Amino acid sequence: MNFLNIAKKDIKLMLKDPGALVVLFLLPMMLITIMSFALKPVYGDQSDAVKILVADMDKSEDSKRYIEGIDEVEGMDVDELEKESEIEKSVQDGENPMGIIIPKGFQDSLEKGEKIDVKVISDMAQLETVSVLQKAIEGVAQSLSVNYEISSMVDEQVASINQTMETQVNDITKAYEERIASLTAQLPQGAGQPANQEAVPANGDAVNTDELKSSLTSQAQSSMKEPMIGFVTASTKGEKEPPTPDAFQQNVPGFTVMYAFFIVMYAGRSFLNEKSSGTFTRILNAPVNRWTLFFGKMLPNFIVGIAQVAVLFAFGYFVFDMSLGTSPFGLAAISIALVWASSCLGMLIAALFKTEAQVNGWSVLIVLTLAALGGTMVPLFIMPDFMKQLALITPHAWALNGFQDILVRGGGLEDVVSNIGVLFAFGLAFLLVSVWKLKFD
Amino acid sequence: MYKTVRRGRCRKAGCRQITKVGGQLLNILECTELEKEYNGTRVVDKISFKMKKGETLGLLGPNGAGKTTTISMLSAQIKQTGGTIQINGHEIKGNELKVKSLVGVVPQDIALYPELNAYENLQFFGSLYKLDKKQLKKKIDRVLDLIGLKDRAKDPIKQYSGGMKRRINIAAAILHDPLVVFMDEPTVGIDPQSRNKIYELIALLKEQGMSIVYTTHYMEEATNLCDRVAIVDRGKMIQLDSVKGLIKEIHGGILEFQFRDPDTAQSAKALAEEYEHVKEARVSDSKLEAVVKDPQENIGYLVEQFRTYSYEIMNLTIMPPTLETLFLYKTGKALRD
Repeated sequence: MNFLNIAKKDIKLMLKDPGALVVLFLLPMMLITIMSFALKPVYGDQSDAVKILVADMDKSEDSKRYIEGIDEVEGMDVDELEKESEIEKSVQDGENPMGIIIPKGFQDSLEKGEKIDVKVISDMAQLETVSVLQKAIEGVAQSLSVNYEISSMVDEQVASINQTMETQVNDITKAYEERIASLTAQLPQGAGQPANQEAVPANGDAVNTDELKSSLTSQAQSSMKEPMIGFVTASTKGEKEPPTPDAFQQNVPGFTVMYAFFIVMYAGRSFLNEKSSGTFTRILNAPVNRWTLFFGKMLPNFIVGIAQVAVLFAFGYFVFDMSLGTSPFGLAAISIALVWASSCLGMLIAALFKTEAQVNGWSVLIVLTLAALGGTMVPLFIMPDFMKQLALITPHAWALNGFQDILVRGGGLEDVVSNIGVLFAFGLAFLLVSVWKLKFD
Repeated sequence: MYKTVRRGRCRKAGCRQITKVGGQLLNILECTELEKEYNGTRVVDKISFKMKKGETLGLLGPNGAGKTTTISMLSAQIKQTGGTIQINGHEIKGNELKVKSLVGVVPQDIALYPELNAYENLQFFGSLYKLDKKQLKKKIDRVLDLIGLKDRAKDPIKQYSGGMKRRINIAAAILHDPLVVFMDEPTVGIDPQSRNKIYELIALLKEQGMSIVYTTHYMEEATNLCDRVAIVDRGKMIQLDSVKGLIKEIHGGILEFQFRDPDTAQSAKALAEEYEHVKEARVSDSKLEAVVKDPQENIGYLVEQFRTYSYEIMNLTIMPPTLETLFLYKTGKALRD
């Protein structure tokens, strides 16, 4: 098993090269950390909501309800302060984009149906954020004022119903009494007196106005929160739009894929070093055939690649609590396919380039171009369609999609079979060209 | 260690090795009409020789003479364009891996991993010969002892001096007890003290009966280390003999006369050839070279003769009977050209 001896030696050499360990393991970890935190909002991560400063001068039930309403808005977090001046200072210093001051008499004005102004202090340097926030707090204010509008509408309606009913009841009572009187006059004395004449209610008080008012108000509110006409976003295939990854689900597989391909530089250099130092020839002086040497040189790339994927995913899982999906087999299979493709590309680089400068220059160019094109730097879902299509010429895109099928969309092995197939095909193509081009002499 | 194998099993399991037939020692290495061409250029041209077990054969020639190409073919590293090679009775063609297991190669470059220590380097190269762990460890210890670097075994090669690296370079080639070791200029670029250490090591290996093919362009190495020396130039083997035999070729030495013009040199040649102690004479341009039995004694006679005929001598050199003189005489150029 000479290829194992060769592989073992190469791994030993790599472990003695701190530069390789930094580039293959430490650098992607650092980038994952920095980029994930930096790009959290881009990936729709809600854990860092925008803070709205609020000073409640009214301290009434309605002002509290209004603050709660703002706090319930996704992406907004209320921070209550006591003084208006504190809010002004914070916004002025750029610490917060916006603050609001709820004035005294807020509840009274609402109850009376009078207009009341809530003061908004905003940082115009953060205009885009401010305009979004303003829309949100206006929405909450509208929702609150609806309570009072509906309540007053219901009062008016009930009063009108009561009045109509009272008129009609009085008319009927009057007609009834006249008829009774006329019939009584035609009867002998003592006869025709009702045995138990119950008093007829004068104003027909059977309608419960409070219950009706409450029912109508809650119905209106619920229809505002959940309108009867909703919207469902769908793709052209008629399927629901797939969920998008969070920052870690994008960056951990993204940088893993990108850095898995950095092994090509070491594969190329390792071949060149062996050739220039004469150890390549020396190995071939021993009873070792060329293919044993070839696969012996390829195996360490594969082993290091697998270790790299395992370490970076473990880093995402343990440090950032990133979900690994529900299919360990699928995850393992797509990882193996990725590392196969990168190892084979390494052999191609080793076969094509003859000097260290060529290996370094071309490796960086190829790896970074494919990485950018394949969506490992900028997520594919925000790329225009033609870029998404173009990405499919890179193994990176297939690997990244495969990982996200498992991590984000909860897919299994069966969902990434095509990705695995394409990655193996990429690897095979790289391998065949490297076998064709590699010179052992 | 390295004892002469006589009859019976060879070191490789399952390989019967006959070393004697009818009391005659078989040749451990035999090559016939060996040729190598690169893009139509012949770099090795019909080299033939035989080598006995325990013998040290030197390939003496300048850079570019074809020495490295010859040993690359002999060690099954590259394929010959023509001719045959047998190592211990095995034809190389079709048996490359088997032959590789029987030979060791000390390359001209220091072909080691600088980041690994001596032990790790030897362990790796030894592992390629399928030695089991225990056996390999024993052999590494023994070889480190032999080259005198046991106490530095755990130091990375990059911390070694040039001479120490050269010794490890040799150790990696003899670890698996090869029948033949090819040493390709193993002392290039090192100081005289380190070179002497390597000579001592080679002498030790010779004592232990190892067959060695040694390429060099240093005359003293060929003279002191080799039983026989082949003079190689432009891919051809010009002469092969023991050092004594080769020197005999040039008799007692060579007298080199520089004349005014080529015509004078030609006339002087005719005159010199008439003298009984001149074995042979030749002219190139206006220079006459005469192989003379005893140059010191006969120089007076020749000078007197040339003066009689008014052949004006511009310069006169007495060349001693050495390999260098022979090489110069045979190839017309110095070894370091």
